[in-house]
Amino acid sequence: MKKFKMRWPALKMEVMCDGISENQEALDILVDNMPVKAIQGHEMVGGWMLRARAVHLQKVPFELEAAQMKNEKMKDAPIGRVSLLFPQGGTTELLVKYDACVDDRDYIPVAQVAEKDLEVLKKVGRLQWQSATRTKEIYHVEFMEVE
Amino acid sequence: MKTWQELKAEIDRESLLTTLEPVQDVVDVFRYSISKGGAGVPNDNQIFTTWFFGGADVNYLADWCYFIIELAKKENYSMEQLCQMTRFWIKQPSEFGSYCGLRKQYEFFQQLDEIMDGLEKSELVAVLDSYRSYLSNINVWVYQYMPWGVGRAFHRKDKAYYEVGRKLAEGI
Repeated sequence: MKKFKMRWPALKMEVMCDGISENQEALDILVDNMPVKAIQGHEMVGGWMLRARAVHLQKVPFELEAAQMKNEKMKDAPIGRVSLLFPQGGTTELLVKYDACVDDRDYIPVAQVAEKDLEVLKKVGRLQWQSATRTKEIYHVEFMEVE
Repeated sequence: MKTWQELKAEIDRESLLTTLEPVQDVVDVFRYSISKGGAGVPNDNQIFTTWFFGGADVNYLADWCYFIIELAKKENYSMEQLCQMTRFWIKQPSEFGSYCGLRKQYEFFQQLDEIMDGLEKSELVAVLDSYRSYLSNINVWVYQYMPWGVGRAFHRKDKAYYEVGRKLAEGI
């Protein structure tokens, strides 16, 4: 199964994300577009999620139909779940749950942050929340395939 | 009038420029509180309503593009119907977003509006896909610069809160 890293250079932090059994074709497309850089954001109403609102897929467009993919409610997802929202053509949103969420909407799960990196993920999440609500620091996130 | 390829290339260029660097329109409106179109000026010369309404309208444009593209791919809609949906769903919020200072996204829509009726379905989808990418960048930067911290001044109230209030009012 494919793996990738999420890295936040300004924070000098990174986490490993392992593919899961669901939606492997969707993960393949995401990974085939790496390396990708985006602006790291935060979910503002549904809970503790990192949210990158514009992940551009410039090499391979996302052409899977929504009905072909399995969904998962964010509130039921494990901590560390990496999910896509509205993947289509040249753009997708990408979310990572790092703590409790009340969001009961469907997302497309594609990967899971490694157990050993969950504390790092939580630190990044808390710093991003500080940025969104107070400091307004701009954090880049990089997605890189790991062989 | 641009060809669809020229318009798509122009949007793609702008999208590339604004993926990791801010959209200038968003910086003007959301970071520096400049209302270039005059929105909010007659209403106590404030910016908050411009943020609240303009940001939300443009936020949804990316979703409307998503759904029009899905309908174009999966359903038996004619180009005439798709063009009509595009005008119904996109023109009004895009124009309002421009009034609120998010101008370039409306310039792109106006250029699409001019050529849309002469396009093939795949061509419309290609331009809308690029437009959606650029709109997604706008959303990124609106979320970045919106002063979400003001929410701390308006804490959510629940049933227990009102119950305490009721008891205080009744002198219990």
